[in-house]
Amino acid sequence: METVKHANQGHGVLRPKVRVWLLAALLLLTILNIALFYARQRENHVAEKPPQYHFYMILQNSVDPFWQDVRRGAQDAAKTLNVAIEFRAPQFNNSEEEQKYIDIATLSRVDGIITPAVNNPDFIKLINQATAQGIPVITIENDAKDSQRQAFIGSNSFMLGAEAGKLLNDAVQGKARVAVIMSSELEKDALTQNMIMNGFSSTLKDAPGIQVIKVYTPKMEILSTEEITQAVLRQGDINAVFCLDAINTVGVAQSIVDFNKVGKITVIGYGITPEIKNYIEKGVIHGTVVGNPYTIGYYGVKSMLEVKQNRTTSSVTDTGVQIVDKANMTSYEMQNSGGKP
Amino acid sequence: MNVKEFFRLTGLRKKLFIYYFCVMAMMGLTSYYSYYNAKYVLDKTNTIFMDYIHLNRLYVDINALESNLETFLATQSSDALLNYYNANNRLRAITDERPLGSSKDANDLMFVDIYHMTENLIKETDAAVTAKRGRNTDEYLAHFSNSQKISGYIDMYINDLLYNKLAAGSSQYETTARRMNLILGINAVILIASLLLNMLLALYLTYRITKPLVRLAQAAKRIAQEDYNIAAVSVGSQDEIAVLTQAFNQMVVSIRNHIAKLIQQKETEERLREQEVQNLTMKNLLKEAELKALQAQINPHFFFNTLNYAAQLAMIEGADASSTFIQKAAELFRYSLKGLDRPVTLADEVSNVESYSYILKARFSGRVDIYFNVDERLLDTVVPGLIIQPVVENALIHGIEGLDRKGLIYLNVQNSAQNILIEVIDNGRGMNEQRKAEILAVRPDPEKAHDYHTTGLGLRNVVERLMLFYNVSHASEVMEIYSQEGAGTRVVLKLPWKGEHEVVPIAGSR
Repeated sequence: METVKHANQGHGVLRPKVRVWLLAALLLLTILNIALFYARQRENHVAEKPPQYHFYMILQNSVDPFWQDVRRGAQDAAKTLNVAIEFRAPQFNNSEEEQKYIDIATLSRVDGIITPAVNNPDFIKLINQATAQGIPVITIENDAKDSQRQAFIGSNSFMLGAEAGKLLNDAVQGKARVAVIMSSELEKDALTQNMIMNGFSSTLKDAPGIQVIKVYTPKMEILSTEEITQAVLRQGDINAVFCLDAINTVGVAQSIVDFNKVGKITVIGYGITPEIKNYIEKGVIHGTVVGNPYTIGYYGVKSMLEVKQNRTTSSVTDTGVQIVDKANMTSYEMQNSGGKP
Repeated sequence: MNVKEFFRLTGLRKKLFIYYFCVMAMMGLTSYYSYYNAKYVLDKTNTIFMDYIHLNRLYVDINALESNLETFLATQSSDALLNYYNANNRLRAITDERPLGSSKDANDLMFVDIYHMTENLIKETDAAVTAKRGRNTDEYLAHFSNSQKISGYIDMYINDLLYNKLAAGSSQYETTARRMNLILGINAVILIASLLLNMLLALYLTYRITKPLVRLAQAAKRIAQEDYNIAAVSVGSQDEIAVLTQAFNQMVVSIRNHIAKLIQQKETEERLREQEVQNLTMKNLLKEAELKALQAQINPHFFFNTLNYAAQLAMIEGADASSTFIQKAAELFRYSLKGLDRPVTLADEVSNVESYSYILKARFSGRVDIYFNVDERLLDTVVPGLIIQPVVENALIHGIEGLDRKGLIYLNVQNSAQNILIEVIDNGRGMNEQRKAEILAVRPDPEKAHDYHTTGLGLRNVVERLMLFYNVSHASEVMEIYSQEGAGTRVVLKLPWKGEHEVVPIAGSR
């Protein structure tokens, strides 16, 4: 009797090869969709934890690298401490605009205001107004001592002057005739400038060979700085200049290059900008005294958080002074390229 | 239907389900991907514009609030107051509408500031309205100037925010547009690829699923055309079609087997019918032979009685030879009268030939001699009647008669391996090949029965009967003839030696 043989090859619907390809295609599509979904989800949830507080930081201007560093420090602190921070800055130094921002911050009922101050009645009034509404104010870089501000964070002006004196002494080896060019910035009130001068003078007391011949007060920044520099050069016997702000420092350096007096006059500057760095590298400026802007920004936020959480903080935080000259430029840059204090 | 049964996925159902699932999944995923991208682009654009719209409403309502307040303060118009309150309410609604999320994003923080300032603004304007109604001039002027200051701030913030948003929005739009082009491209590629893949899949799977069906259909068509010689259909699957195919293959085999059986049955039936015809023929032949015998001996009983009487008369008269002669002739007649349908023993046959030879000797008076050489052990063998005497008679008539010399006939009965051999040898004229062939070409056919020799049954009749009796198909199997013209003839009857041969019973015998 014949029998039927079982045809038993090839199981299932699909040949194994086709099955693998099909599965691969489906898998690819699924993964694509899941990846898309998660990418989208992540995009939607960038803000992880809601910030604890909303702080308001006012900067003196939006162009100066010093204030950019302050901002960077504050941003880093805000990120670390999980607070939201809003920045406001007039494009150029403008005390009235700063005051307006304090008013706005007060009206906006922020959790804290961090601002450079001017020790004048209008400014003090605004600070006190904010404080009265329960908004703590911390001053940075420039203090308004007479206001009800919670704390001041910045360099000690006396120390700043003293460091500048030391730098000059080292540069001229104890023998120089010095011209001092005061700051034209309105915020730098007489008190602060006097403190710097006091520091400067006290250092030079130990160096009898160094004499401060003249103190200039420019009226219109760079433009008048050029005139001052000309006057200084005309004077003939002056071989060192100490500038009390960054803009004047650049102005003086520029004039010295223009009049071809590089190397004949030792310039001690204040603050640090790309131009100043450039002039230090070229040897036009011997060195500069700098506050620690990053630290100022960082401690501004940190102290404000302390005020919010503990209702108190140390009323003055000295963020120190640094000297930048050709020798330590590289290490300064390294230190300030994003690291924390 | 049973739900469980419905969801049981087996065989063809499973295949179809998997196919549909694959196609649907692919299309689904593809469209989901497209949808997602479209939604992404839309969302991006939406957020940009939503904020614009929101800020614009805020701006318009603040301006309305301020201008209506100013009008009211100047004219104390109730319309202006009403409008003022409307703007007031709208502003409150707007500030409620966008929940103040806590975010670190600068623009969000500005939004928060704007809301708080708006609240302060409303506070100031409300105070101004209250003061105006209380006719407190100094106070309302102070509140009004305050409110103007705040609205100035808000305007500034809104402008800044709009500018920021515009800057961010335009850059976002640029990236989105760039991305959209890419996404559209990818979409198109994926769509086309998935479409192609689906098409291929559809083709492939349709082919896979229908291939066994097509094969089965082809095979079925051949079966319908009565072509059963088809190889077993093989399908490379394990589903209902495979079951169907297996059943189909089994069916083909069954049909083939059935047909073979039918053919076999038919053959058997035919053989049986042939045998029946043979039996009938033999019966006819017997009848014919008997008739011949009767015709040859007119009233044999009378003749036999007469012969008996003649024998007694001869004995009484003392003519012993005559008496014996007549006696032998009577015996010969009696044997013939016994009939052909009854099997006899070889002994009977031999004694019949002895009687015949006696008469022959007497008749031919010494011109013929017959010698017997019989193996006594074979005498009990059952054989058909009247098979030897016709052969001897034939030898006499065609061999010896008219011969000048003395005729000799030898009868030998002996045993061989398969046969009993009965030889009848004469030294007569012999026979030619044609005659020999004529005798041996005999077939058991009743139509030729008339050709017998008048005095006997003849060799042909003997051959036919032997063939029927022993059921053989060739004459040479029962008879051999060796002859030389002028020298003599030897006829050999070969009776198959099969022990006890069953005698075919013949109906209708006397």
